[in-house]
Amino acid sequence: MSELDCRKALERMNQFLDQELCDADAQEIREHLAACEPCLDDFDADQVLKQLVHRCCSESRAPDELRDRIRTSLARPALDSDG
Amino acid sequence: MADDTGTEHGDLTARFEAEALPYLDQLYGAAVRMTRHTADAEDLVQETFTKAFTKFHQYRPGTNLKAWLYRILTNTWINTYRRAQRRPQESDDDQVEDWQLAAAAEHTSTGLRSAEVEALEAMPDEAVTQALAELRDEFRMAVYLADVEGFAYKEIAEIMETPVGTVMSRISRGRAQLRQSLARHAAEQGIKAAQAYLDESETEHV
Repeated sequence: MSELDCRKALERMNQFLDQELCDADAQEIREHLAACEPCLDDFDADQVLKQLVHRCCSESRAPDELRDRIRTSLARPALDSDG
Repeated sequence: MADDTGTEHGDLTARFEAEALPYLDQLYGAAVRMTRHTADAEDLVQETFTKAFTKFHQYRPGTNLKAWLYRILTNTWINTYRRAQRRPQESDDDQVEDWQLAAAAEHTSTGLRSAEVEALEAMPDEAVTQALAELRDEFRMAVYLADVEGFAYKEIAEIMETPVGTVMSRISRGRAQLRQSLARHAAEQGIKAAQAYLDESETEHV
């Protein structure tokens, strides 16, 4: 395939990965990936990376003391006096 | 009347507890990534919820509450904590040069790329969080909002108060940098493993 196709595909790789492309554009990328192994490898790496970031940071839990402090502060009267 | 005000306030508090407080864990997680410091993260989250509660009467019910909260978190981080935090030493390659991106936009198809995928799949969480911590704040934030919280580019643009084009650039550069530093980490691990193998095989010869 031409260099131009690869460059265009790579430029749009992130948008494709994040599902930000319209159906027509996404289909173009899909077709290119089906025919271009280097681009497919690149996409695979980006996809794994995205999953890694998601996985490493998703299990967060706020400390109980923090939760309690926040809930306590809500119980106090509101500071604002907008009508 | 005092009673009405009390009831109104009570209603608002109840709504806030029911609707906004459930996002505490997620906001805390984001704060930990942003500040890279759990004590700062707690302060940041507390201040965020205080601000959010004060402004809650301005929030339009039914609109994107999660994005609304993240925007307050991000603003508070940028305006208060980022200024105060001592910046860690930034590495030489914290700037992903345009030429590096251009190089990445071309292929040298040698099959090395699938080795990269294998290495990434074996990457421990600590290596990933470390690589994230080394990113510039705005790159890290954009990647986090996209990959951990699943916000759309348009939502990230509202949260970070920048154009969508800037969001895309930050995500793109953040990811390129992550791949680079994780590849470096994998190479270092490979070198250590090889060295350990050599050391072991040398002691066996005696």
